[in-house]
Amino acid sequence: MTYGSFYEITNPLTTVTGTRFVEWFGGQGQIPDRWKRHDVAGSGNAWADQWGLHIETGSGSSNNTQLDFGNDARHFNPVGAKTIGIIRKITAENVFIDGGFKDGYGDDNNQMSFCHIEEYSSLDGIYLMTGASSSSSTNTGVAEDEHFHQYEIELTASNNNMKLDGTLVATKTDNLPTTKTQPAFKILTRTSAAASGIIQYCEAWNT
Amino acid sequence: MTSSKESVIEHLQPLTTTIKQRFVSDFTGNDDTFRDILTYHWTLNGTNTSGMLDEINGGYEITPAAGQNVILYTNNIRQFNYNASAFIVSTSAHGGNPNRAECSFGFSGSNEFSGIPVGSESKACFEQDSIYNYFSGCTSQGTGETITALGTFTFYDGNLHICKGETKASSCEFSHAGILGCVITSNLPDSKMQPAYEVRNIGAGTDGAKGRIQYFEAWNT
Repeated sequence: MTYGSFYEITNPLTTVTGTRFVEWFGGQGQIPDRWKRHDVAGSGNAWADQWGLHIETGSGSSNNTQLDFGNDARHFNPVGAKTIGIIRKITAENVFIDGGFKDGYGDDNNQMSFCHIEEYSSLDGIYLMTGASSSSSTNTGVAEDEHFHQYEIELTASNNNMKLDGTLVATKTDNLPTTKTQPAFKILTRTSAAASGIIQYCEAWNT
Repeated sequence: MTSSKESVIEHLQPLTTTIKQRFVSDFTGNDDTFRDILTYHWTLNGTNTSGMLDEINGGYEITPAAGQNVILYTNNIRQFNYNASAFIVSTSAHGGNPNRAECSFGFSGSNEFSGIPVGSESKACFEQDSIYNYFSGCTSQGTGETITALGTFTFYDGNLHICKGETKASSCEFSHAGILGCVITSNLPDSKMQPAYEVRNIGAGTDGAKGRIQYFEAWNT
């Protein structure tokens, strides 16, 4: 079976779909143009490499860098959206990398729903982290590592859930985001050394 | 039933068929002037204030200045066939009442949709004048024009609409929400065309005449 159009792969023409996009993070150069890099603390960087988009923090403790839509196009519904992403942390220790939805950028954990992969002290693991005016995390029980992981995060009115590498691993009902969101990725170093990770794929749509 | 395939294109056609010109523009992302929407695919022409709308399902909002036409087009790179092509657009139109506005979108050989295209260019498009006509399909080969209403509903309601147009050997077909609305067999396009989306503030009003485009897909069939 084939579809009549790209649109119809995901929606029939009788349905007005919401915003949807696919970003492959392929090709040469810098950040794909729909994205904006925010160096929340320190001077980070991002560039294309053999794996996808390489994103790096500055070299100061807690330096962190976020990739998002620049707060210009928060087209995604906090109670009706999904995103699929593939991320990997390259730095083994004292670092976290996030991928998912967030309404803005900065040193806060407000209005977000992130797949959070961290290696630091007792925080080692892969989490579903959500935030409204305050934030909390659910440990998936999956060990953190330096491999690629594919997450799918679904935002609904009653919960946020996350599949990791195809398996449902976390459902949260507290601190759910309530404001319009954009796709976002974040990396933070816990030490005075730059940390880096890879973003390979991102797809997001309103449900 | 969902079935996985090895590639995206195989969801649209088998690899035994030659892949023809196709593009998809999703109108989301940051609003810098250098972003791909206005660099690689589109040119925005006309006096306007436009940009990404920071709302859920916002898309790209085009607001012409009073009395102005604004068109998003591919700068006369016309890669789509006049009798074997299709487009799908998701869009909403706003304002234009009590003053006149017009929203037109689809394929055009020139850099505007209004009337019969100059220079013997063609068009196959949807159009709606906010106070006069019903939502219509429209065709031209540069010497005449045919406008046929899809139905009696109003396009200017601020809601998103999904619209599909097809150019064929002996007709152009226009559908709304998956339902065929009209078939035009006269004044059919006869030359190559490009994707385009135009908003006209005809009445020079300050009533917020604008169009929001959320999705544009075009391909040769």
